[in-house]
Amino acid sequence: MSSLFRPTRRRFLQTAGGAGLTIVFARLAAAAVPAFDWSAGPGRARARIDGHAKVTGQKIYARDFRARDMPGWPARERLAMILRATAVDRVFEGIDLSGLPADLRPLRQILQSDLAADGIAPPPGNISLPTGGAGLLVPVGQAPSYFGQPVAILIFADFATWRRAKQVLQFDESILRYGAPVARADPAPYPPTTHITRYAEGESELFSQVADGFSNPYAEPPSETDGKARAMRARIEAAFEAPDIQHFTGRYATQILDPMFMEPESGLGWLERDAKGERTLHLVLGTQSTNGDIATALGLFASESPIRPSTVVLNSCYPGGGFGGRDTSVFPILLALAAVYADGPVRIANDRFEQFASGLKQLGSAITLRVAVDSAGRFQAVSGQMNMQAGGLNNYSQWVAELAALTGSGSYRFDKAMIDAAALPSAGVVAGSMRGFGGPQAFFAIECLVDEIADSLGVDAIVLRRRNALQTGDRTVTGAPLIQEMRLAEICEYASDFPLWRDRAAAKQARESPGRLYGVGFALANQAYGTGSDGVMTEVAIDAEGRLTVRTNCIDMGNGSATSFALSTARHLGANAQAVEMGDVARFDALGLHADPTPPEAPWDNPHWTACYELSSSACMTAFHQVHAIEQAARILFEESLLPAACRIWGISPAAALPDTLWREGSLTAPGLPPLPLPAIARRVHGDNAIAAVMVHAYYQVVWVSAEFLVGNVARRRPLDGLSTRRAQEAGWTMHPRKHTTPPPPGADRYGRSLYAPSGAIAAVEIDRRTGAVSIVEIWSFLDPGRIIQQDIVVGQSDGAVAMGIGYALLEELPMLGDGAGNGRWNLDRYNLARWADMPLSRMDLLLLTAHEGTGKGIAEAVLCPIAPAIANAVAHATGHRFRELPITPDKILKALG
Amino acid sequence: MVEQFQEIAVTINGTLQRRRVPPDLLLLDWLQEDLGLTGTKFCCGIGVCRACTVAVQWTPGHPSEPVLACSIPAAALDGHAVTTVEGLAGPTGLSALQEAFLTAFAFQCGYCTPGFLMAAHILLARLRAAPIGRDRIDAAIDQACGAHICRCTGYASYRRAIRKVVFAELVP
Repeated sequence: MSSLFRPTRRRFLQTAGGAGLTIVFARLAAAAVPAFDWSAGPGRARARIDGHAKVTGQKIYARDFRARDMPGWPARERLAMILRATAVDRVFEGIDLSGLPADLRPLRQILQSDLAADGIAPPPGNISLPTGGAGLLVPVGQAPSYFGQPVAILIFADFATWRRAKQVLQFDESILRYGAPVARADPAPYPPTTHITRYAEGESELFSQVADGFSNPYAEPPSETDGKARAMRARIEAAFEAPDIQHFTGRYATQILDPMFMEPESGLGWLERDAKGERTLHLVLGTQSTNGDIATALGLFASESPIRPSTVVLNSCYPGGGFGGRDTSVFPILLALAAVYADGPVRIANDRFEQFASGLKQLGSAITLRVAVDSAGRFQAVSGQMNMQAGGLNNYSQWVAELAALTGSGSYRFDKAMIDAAALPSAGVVAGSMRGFGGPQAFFAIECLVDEIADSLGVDAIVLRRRNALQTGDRTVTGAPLIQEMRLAEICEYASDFPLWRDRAAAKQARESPGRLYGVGFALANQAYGTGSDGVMTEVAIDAEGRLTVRTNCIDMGNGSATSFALSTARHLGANAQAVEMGDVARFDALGLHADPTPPEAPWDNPHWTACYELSSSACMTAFHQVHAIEQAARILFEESLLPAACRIWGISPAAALPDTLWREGSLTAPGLPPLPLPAIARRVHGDNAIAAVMVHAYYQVVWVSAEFLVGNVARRRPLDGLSTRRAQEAGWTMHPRKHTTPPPPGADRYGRSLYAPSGAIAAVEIDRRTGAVSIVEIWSFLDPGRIIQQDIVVGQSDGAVAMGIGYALLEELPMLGDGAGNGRWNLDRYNLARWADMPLSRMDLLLLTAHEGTGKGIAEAVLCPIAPAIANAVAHATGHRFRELPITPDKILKALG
Repeated sequence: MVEQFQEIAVTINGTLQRRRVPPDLLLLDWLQEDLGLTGTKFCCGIGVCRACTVAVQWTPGHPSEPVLACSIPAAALDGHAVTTVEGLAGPTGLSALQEAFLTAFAFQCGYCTPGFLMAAHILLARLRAAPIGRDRIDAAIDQACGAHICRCTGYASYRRAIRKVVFAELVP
């Protein structure tokens, strides 16, 4: 779910504050204070900050809003419907709406020819077809590129007309006219492909990505590094055949998944035209890619386009689930198009059939892994070929493949590695960002293979893992040193001693019968969090009554980040934030930063440049990255404003007070001085026109970039690369240019990843021999979460991951092509998710390692990655048969059992 | 094509609503488009996920029953009473179930929450009207909520929250 979208900062972009967003969240905040006390004291929550709105059915999701709900909007609302390609092997010749009664005809139909005439095309690099073309809608005279590709946008007069017209049009393939058949060629992988080669002997690092640079051993002509990689791969091949080495090969496959977030994509759009002819495009959306969607919406239009808006306003809503599936989706583009062609506000509300046909999918995979093991049971070498099955439109697909490669060797130390990964385009529905981002596929493969190796060697499967688990100071397959404390071995030790694992042989004997099989399986994971180049931003503000507000460009898709953000002010300000305003992009222009992809000379010397300005919202970017930014902003607000104000009240020097001050029950205390309640300090801050809001930007790549910032007359080094402040009585911001910046260490851009959240799972299954049905009867998860912000949220993430992992292992399946989701006929009657009854609700739990580190970890993907392989390994223990392809369905089990 | 309309009178969260609606207009669409009550959620639209569950009292004085608002015409509710998630909180605040869902961190994105709340609310009312033995309560909860879909939080905390309220109230 990590995002690698790095748009050029568009300096011409005139963003406006999210009017609807402000209203939505202002209303929530205002309502929440008297009616709902979610806080359980500084740094603790008794409920989610967004919880009250969610249990009372308030309007918080994009699907809840109508034009009449939006202040300042016309009340009349049009409805749009997207027609989508259901065939890819014939030329599209147009649409035929003659079967639609006259009173149900759309007011407007938009085809690709309209977009071309008006100079509308997706910005380069964002939405791209494998053929290199970039048609948003299928052009007449060409074959669709992929199932579900939009063909036309129909705009209907109102809800009643749209409803009735949809009853006629949906599922009627005759409205799309197709002509001559076309031959389809398999296009090349989405570039770039990933090739990892590492060769080490003991402590000698002879070749690695970090030390030698990126390499492609298949390149023609090869560069010097490519040539060296080839030579190293030949030596690795030889290592597989060395004396006393056994090698094991497994071929694994995982299926296409739908994120199946509960709220189908929906939104409102309105192109407002003012008296001067200025056009403002308003969007109401639940999106993970707030910055990206604004940039893309504006970038659609050529500068000379007669309908180009000058301003885009994003009204960002709580998404009803995300899991990566709302990260740079095509939906916002279609909404923007509908808005510019409609004569007023327009709504698109996907139904579930449409969502299946168009929503982002998880890439399928076909992975071949080979592992060399020495006579002591230590892993020596790994090779991997990872073919990730992508769709017909690129959505981070190559970066999903990259993370699969980076995690392809799992949680283990391999001195010799050669792994190739590619995202292969198809005519399938768009596939890309989804929870795990390549990790679930990779961990399924390696964890099943390691289990098979243990069986073959006659070694306990956890003992084998423990023996080979990565430790601090080891290097990853890129040659990057592991700088975090690595607690994989500790997880293995806990799991080894767990009765469910320890007593599995006896339990198998006791629980099996002629009609029932029983098995226990384990899997380990070391999922990375962050993208390897992470830019985050936030603002912390205090009003005159001492109420704290956190503002951010990212959103909470349900993962609890809003609550975590509110709790993260407590460390330095002694109180939780009472409001969290999310999805606000424009206000961070005050940072004065940009991330031009062609950086200037010595870029870190330029205080306006950063390596990554923003990322899409991701659950895994909260606990470490976003919380760092909030805590730094809160700290600066304290050090530069609240503490000096308190000292003015106390009549002492801030320097004298700093070491001994302590927040206690909402008041700042210092020895021998009267406690000062936060509101009293805030009043002084506002009365003295001191700093009342701090906005920061932070950049992480192996380390937090740090710099000196002068605020007032004191310069302090802080782990930030951007800082602006606002005084209480002023509207404008002051940028504090950084100086003496300490950039990431050399080679950091080649680490791949440097942050990991170790996890594991033990699953027990029962299998009905007659039906082949698998029941999960017990499951225990293990996790190193780092410093926990709110344990209930971590547990919820883990419980949800168990459900999603069960679906992945046993239930969920989507064909890729014509009989898959793109045919518009898929819904939850065919796509099976884990239900309550599929879960061992009274026999599942999460064991959290006690934090050693001072920071939290991004765990949303980590808790998912071991679930499916643990189940697959349990099924193998039960049946004696290895299932290397997901999902493991009853049919497959019955076939294997004969 | 001339659209037909039908007069209906339905009590929604205690307020009588009289409207002319197309006979095939779904209850969910009527709630959301006409009445502005968007707390009842659209997810699958085919009666599988149960996010759109509302409570319908078919007979005065009888316990409400769960009805899937995505799969029933509004006209079928003519003369009956419907409670949606917007109608659960009382004048003194949240219901015990709403409070329990909050403090159990029972949900994440919250989109399925109204459906779970309504199913649990209906169950609680039914058990109040016709108590059952303690040993049958878990099965009753499973029956009432087990078919609902939650994609984020994996059901365990929903179940904990519902059990807490049911056992506290019905099994002192």
